[in-house]
Amino acid sequence: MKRSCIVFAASGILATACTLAHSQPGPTQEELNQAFRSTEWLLPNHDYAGVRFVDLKQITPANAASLRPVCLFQGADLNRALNNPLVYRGVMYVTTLLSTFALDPTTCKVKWRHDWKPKAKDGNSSIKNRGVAIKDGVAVRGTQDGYLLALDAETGKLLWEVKAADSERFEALSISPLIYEDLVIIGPSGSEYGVKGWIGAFRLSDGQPVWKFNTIPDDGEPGAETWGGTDARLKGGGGIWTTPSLDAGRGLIYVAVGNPAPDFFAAQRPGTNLYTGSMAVLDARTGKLNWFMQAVPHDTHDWDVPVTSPLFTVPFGGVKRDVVTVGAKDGLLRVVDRETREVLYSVPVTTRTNTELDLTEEGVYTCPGMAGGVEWSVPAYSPTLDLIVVPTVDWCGVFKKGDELRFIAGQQFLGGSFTWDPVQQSRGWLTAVKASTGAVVWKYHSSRPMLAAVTATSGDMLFTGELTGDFLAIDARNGNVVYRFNGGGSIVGGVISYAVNGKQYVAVVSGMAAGFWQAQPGSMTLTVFALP
Amino acid sequence: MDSTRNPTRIGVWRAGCGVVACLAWLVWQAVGAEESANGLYTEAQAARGEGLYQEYCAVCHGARLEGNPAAPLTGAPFRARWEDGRHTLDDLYFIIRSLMPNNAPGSLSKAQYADVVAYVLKVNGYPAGAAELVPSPAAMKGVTLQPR
Repeated sequence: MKRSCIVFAASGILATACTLAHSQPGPTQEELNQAFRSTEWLLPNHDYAGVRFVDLKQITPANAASLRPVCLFQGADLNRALNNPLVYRGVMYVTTLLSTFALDPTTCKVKWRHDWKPKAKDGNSSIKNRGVAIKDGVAVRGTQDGYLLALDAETGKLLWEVKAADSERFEALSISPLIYEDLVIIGPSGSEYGVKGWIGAFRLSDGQPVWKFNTIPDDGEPGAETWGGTDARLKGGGGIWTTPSLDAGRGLIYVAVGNPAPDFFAAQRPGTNLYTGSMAVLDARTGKLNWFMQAVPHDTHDWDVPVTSPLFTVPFGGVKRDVVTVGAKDGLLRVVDRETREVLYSVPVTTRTNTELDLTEEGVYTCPGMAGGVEWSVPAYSPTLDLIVVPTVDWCGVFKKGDELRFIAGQQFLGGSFTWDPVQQSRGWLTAVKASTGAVVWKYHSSRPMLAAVTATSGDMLFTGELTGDFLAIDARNGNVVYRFNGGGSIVGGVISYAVNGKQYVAVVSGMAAGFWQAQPGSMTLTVFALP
Repeated sequence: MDSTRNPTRIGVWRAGCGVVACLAWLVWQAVGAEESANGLYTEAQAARGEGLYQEYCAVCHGARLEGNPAAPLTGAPFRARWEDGRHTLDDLYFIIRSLMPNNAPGSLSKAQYADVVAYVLKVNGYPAGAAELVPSPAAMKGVTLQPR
């Protein structure tokens, strides 16, 4: 939008067109389609393809050591700080568990806030919020008690609310929704609480449901035969933890489907347990299944598939391929041809030991552990360096099948347990993989699991963070840390880069991580960095 | 023949009903006493449980059971999640013994897990009694946590 104004101004036609363009609420569908060109941040992973690459090159390996914090926003929230901020037309949108904020992304000054008071008694307080989606002047988010909220992006006023998920079944709407045309696409998290997963579309104009795809099939639906019976499917898991990527040209969404439940009690659910541990490719307008790839059939280790992006085009074997990146908590990064559905390569990106052994009541030492692997923060793709950069967890332990299976509403439905290695042995990796071959180019080894988002820029930079609270600016060419800043709380959510009035910024969310990470605690804080 | 018209049989029937009703009342009293979940542990046991809780649980559930980052174990969240008339004391014991502490589930003894349950009951206002809570699922299954 800004670029077009500059062009108009230069040609003398000028401000009227600019004013008209900005008076229209946005982002428009066309702006979202073109978000990959934007130097703002319009979608959770920057654009529909989820490349997490922004064409900004003011900050480079040569000057990143001069980065400094320019403002802080305190969300006054001690829940897990997982959200992905968005930036559009010089306004940042960020969430906490119950609140939504619009900020100035250069000063952190609050423009408006909206506070949600949970209505459902049985809201799943264990599942937090990952952010908003914006389109046509509307900001949409989910809540832990199953509501979908639409806010006026200019004022924060509530436009509509609908009860979209069944909180009595402990379905919680944690992900940043995906908005495409007049559809808000979202599904509930909560595999560990015995949900029966689904993803659905709701009208942006009024929140009314349009389509629904069962990630755990109903009776008679394809895939139902992979569960050994109806009872297993009723609490079969298959939650949605991350925003789907979208191939707008094909009109297809790539949905990452979580693990089956009970996590460790395989006998309860004989079969491959479709569509858990899968990438389900759906028609974005109808929700109909186009194809799927099950990366982790009949999972018994809580090894969700949380990553189905970035989508990109790359030469492979002498042919240009449209590919999708599929990452799982099993510790493998797969690149899959979106046309032929062939897995072009599969790269181990963390330690993998005893992955094929069945669980026993005595216990089996296995890597990755219950926390993966590839977690919820999707890889970044740098087209200029031909790199996919993925953060991972490296924390092994002992999986045990339980001696008794019992479902207790509101409690984790695991059917077993996982004993973690001592926290001192937990590690993380940032691995750069050559996108056109699958070869590992470099690795950064973190003292703790790596969970934060990763952002790549055309300035050969990577921005991410660590459980220690360190924000990292990394030379994308070799993995060397150029700048490190400890802001206090753990960094497990969004890290983005954007430009306002021609100046490049980096925003980092920090705060709490889930207790089992045994990480640095902190109140939700958004810190904005820039060069002096 | 219509037995209800036989005076002798009516008397026996009435007497039988009286005995059944009396037994039912006694059973109801006994179960009711258990269902209150009062007096199920001792102060000494809760004190042991507090020590274990502070060592293994407080890092996630808070020193005062207030929660964060893990779920609160007291107050309204505890009442909503557990004291709904659908959960038994054994359900609470099962979750604690099978999933906790989060980094090493099942690593305490059954008696220690019972001590932790005793402490959780104490913090939530259940009075102590003369006998300790025995780590027996069968016994705890008879105690339903009721709304209060």
